[in-house]
Amino acid sequence: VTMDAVTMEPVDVIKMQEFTRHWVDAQPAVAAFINAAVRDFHDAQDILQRTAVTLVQKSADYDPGQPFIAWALGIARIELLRYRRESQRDRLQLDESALDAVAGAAERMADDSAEMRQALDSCYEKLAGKPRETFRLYYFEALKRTRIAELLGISTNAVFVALHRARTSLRRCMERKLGIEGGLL
Amino acid sequence: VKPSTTVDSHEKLISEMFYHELDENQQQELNQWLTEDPANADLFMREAFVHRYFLERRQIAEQSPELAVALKLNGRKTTAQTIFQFGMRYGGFAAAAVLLLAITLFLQMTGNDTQFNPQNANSGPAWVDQQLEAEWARITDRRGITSSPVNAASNPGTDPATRSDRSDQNTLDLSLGRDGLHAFAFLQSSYGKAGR
Repeated sequence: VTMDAVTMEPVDVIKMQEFTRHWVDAQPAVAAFINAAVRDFHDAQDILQRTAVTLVQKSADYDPGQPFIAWALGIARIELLRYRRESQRDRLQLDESALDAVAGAAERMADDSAEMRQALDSCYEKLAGKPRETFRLYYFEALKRTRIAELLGISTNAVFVALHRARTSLRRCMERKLGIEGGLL
Repeated sequence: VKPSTTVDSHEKLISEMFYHELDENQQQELNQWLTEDPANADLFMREAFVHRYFLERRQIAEQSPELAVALKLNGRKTTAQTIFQFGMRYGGFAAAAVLLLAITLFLQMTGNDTQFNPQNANSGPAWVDQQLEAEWARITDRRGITSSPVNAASNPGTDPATRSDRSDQNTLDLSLGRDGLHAFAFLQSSYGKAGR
């Protein structure tokens, strides 16, 4: 892509800039969709990058009259299924029907992703106590649950419960800030 | 397959999926629940969004040592967070990371922190453009290049300063301009691993 960019005609550069803007807008929802289906973060990153590369390669096929996010999620879905075929390391835990349902949810959520990020920053500041410390050690320090249990002097199951409570609390706080009621955007 | 019970039980199931691995019965239950009602899939995606968002924040430290340093320096912590949050609002994680990296490199290159404060960081894209224009002017003065960052971003093939084969990658990042930051963010998200 970098080499091609050097020899691009101006009209292609403009198209690429438009394409890039679309992708920057869509990327958070596409990333969350992939992470919803693949547990390992690094595998999810690989699939996200493969999705981005495929989007570039197929950019001429994109119909500007259609929502970019739906097209990007469709490509991501194909990459997820390819990953399932090729890898035995962390098989997909969602079947194809569930994947479709989640892709629909990702598309509905896409327009709100910037507000959701802002809300999460604010909500995290309010998180306190053991759930916050457990959350910090897991997400920011990348410690395994057994190591967190050792550090905090609690059981690994208690680490799981604290992570569950912290994440659920953040999600509910975000929903309140965005005025999401009854689980619908 | 068990019938759906309460939302709370499925919240726990989602946590099992994120932090352990689901067994076959749990997978069946989750798949059934997700397809029962679009609201269930919406809830699941919001949980996944929260999980992903905080995993990405860890990625900052893993992928960009400069960002980690900037975030950890006490004197600049608030400033760095302000820039990063601005970048997140403007263009997502990759753009925020590139923006913060660019500003950090800018400060390192100029060796003068006094040009920068959180008040300015809150002034929006115009401020970023101003900083990049200033940096561009400094680079062009040094290299004898005449085109602006906007021109360079619009027509990279004509300007030697924006060509991908230059050895000074940091200068390239800083000279891209606002549209270029978008493009670079895209390239970084596409080829991040190859670039490390």
